[in-house]
Amino acid sequence: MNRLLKLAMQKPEMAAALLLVLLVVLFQVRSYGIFLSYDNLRGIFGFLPEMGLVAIGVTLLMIAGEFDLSVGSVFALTPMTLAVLMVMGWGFWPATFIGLLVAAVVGFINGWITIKFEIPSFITTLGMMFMARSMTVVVSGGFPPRPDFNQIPTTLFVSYVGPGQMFRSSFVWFVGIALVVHILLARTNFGNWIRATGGFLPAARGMGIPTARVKIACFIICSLLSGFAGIIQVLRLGSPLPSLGIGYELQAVAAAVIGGTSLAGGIGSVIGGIIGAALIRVIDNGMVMSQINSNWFQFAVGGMTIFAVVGNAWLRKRGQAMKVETER
Amino acid sequence: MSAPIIEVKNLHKWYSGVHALKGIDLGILQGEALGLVGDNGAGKSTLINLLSGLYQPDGGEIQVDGRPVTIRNPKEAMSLGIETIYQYNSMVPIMSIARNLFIGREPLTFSIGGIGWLNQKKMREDSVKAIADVDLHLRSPDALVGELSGGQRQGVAIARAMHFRSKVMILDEPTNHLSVKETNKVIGFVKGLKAQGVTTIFISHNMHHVFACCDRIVAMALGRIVLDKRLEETSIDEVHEIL
Amino acid sequence: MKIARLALFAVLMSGSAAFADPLNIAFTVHSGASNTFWQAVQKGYEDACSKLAAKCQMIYVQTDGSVQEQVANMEAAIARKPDALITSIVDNNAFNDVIKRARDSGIIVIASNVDHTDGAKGNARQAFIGQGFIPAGHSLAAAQWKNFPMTGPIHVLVGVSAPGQNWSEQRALGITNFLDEQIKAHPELKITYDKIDSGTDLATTSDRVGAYLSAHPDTNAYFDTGFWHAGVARVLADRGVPPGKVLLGGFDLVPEVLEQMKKGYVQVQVDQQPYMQGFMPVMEVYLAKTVGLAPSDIDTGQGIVTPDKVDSIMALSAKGLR
Repeated sequence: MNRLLKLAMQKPEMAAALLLVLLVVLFQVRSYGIFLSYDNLRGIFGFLPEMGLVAIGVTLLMIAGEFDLSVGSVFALTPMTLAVLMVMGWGFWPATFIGLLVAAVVGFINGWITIKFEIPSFITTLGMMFMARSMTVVVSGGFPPRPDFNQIPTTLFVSYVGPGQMFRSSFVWFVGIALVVHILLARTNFGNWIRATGGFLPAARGMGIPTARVKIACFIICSLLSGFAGIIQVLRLGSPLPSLGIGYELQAVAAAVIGGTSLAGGIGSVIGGIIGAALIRVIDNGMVMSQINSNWFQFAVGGMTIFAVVGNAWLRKRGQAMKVETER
Repeated sequence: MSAPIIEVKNLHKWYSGVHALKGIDLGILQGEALGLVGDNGAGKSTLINLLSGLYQPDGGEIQVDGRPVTIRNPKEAMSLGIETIYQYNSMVPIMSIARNLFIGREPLTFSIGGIGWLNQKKMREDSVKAIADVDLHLRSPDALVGELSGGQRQGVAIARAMHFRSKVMILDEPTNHLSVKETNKVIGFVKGLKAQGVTTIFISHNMHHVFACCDRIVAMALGRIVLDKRLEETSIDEVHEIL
Repeated sequence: MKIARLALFAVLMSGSAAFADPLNIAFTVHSGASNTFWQAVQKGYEDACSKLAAKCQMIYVQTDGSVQEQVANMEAAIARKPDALITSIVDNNAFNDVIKRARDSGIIVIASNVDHTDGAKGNARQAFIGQGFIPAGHSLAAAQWKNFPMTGPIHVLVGVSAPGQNWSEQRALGITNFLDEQIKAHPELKITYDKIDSGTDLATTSDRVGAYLSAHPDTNAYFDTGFWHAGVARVLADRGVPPGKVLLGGFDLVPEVLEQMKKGYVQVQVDQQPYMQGFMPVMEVYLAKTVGLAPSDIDTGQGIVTPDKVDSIMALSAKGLR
């Protein structure tokens, strides 16, 4: 039992999960039981798939050793493209396809420029963040287009499904996609290549792994997930604003790191990214429940985030230090 | 005399404006244990980088088994049977032994277009066997390479090359930073490789280690070969003098 | 005065500028380009400029709300010696110097959208065209008050979208001023209110206010200092809360809000007529340059919009005219 606990505490996702449970209990008590109420949980589960998908994409790319700061802008650009095309008369599915294609192209450009010119992806995607945001404003013509929602199969994406009407279909998509990415990472040779590329690039190259292609593929996947997440949010909230997703890139990186992804690459997991995203949403939501004064709000959220990462590291160290006999 | 398994003729390479290899002619015989020595900057690393496919020569020719070849990337080198165990860059420390062993050549249960499902059972079983074959005793194939000592990592790298039946094994400074016990182990490996008919190129700046297990010494300085003699025909002192 | 108005009429009807050189105007703002409100301002600005064949530039900042960036933009703008600088004044100190220098070198300076809290006494700007934020907040609360139940206890949530930023804080202040007055006037209603950091992202505001409402189901009304209560309307609809149970009100007419007004979830909205905030300053510059009229203050509106006006406004809003 001790051995299992030791192993569990050392896995970064476990420490984050433990922290999540702790905070949920804390907020539940502080809010006199309202935190886990039906309505509140419904709200959290509505927002979580959107943030979670972006976090998964960013996590995958970070494992491959690169960053993408443009995810927030792609989050807005894809649904804006979709809306503009629909207002022009296109059908939902072709418009969605083009929107996602735009996301994939952005991802490809991010990867290609980073690799070809050997500049830090931090910088490439920082520039792309501004460019894609501007493109969103340009594409919208300044005023958000209003597509006819009767033409959109919302049941497929955002309507409530399942027993008790707790979860939206977006949650189902979220879980499905998370599973696929997790399998890709943990069970395929491609996943092995991603970890090697991010873990120690010279060794990966020396052993014949096509590291450039691996990275570009990860950039594309990351952008696609952000674009898709943006579509889901617009379908849920009904407005393709050009200001969507601002700030999501930092939240996604924070989620990844809280969930145990290493800033240096190679280490991380899909479940870690999801737990990190959930932790951030829980902190934000719980802080409101605790009625923190509006001026202190950002201080509280920032403080909790630092606490989460420190707590994570502390639990890991405690796990390493636990004295357990190993078999010879 | 057996034919050279690898032969390089008049090999040139420029690196960042420096003429790193100035016309190297070298024939390596099958089954030979060749020791490559020289100071830093002599061109040893450059030569093996060309043989392992990381870079391409700027002039000259490489022949494998008598046929001229172009080795465009490490994968092609490996398919020619040339495995390199780099000084620092062989293993990904944050990944397990099993995953490192099969990196880039993972066994798949099924695949589409080169991407497929890892056969983790086979990976684990083969890892255990491969490691045992080089007489290394490790806890489990799931242990992270980063947790192993330097000598153990070298052992895993050699086990990997053995498993994939390389014909030529290039070891780049394998005894650096190793304890006495581990160094002896590595030297033992190399002798064992010779017994199995594997051609080895042993690069080091430690003359004693080289003389302990090789049967031919090649010394390089400033991009040229300055000495090429069989072990019996030379001595450590002579090599030191020339360099 | 009548002569001046006739002159204005004649000049405007002639349709073209009476100069050899076109007017050169710069407009600096504190927002990023992805804010739909400012797109409407820009449309008014550019429409006015094209009518006068003036050379006009709209300068946004990269970081929303960044005072330093805006000052830097203003410096760059006046270095090119334009005829006029139109600017929002979101800080009581940072802009005073650059505005004075602009005036000293003969550039007309008109404030738009946000003014110094001391008005004309604050700095050298010649006029303010926009909405008084505190009065606007006050008017919004007063208009919504008509929809409140007349029995207590009454609980209100005020969402400060951007704590620390002038426009958001002042609007919230206007609202809370009104509530404070009611608390004094009607102690029997047991009025209480809370302020939270509600955010400037539809999803974030929806989640935060949704969480608050779960914790305080007795909340009667929510005021947003922007338009993000449109997202809250959706949350209420999802929870099956009928429209009007939780009163919603806020600022700026964007299509999302108008839709929610039609559905009955939003009862009142303040329109600061962004088109006017872009259009009128240009006209005042023109008048100043041609007939020497001093720029004057224009209150672009405490126009309270209610559901009955929605249809006509929606068409205009989609074109960015309101």
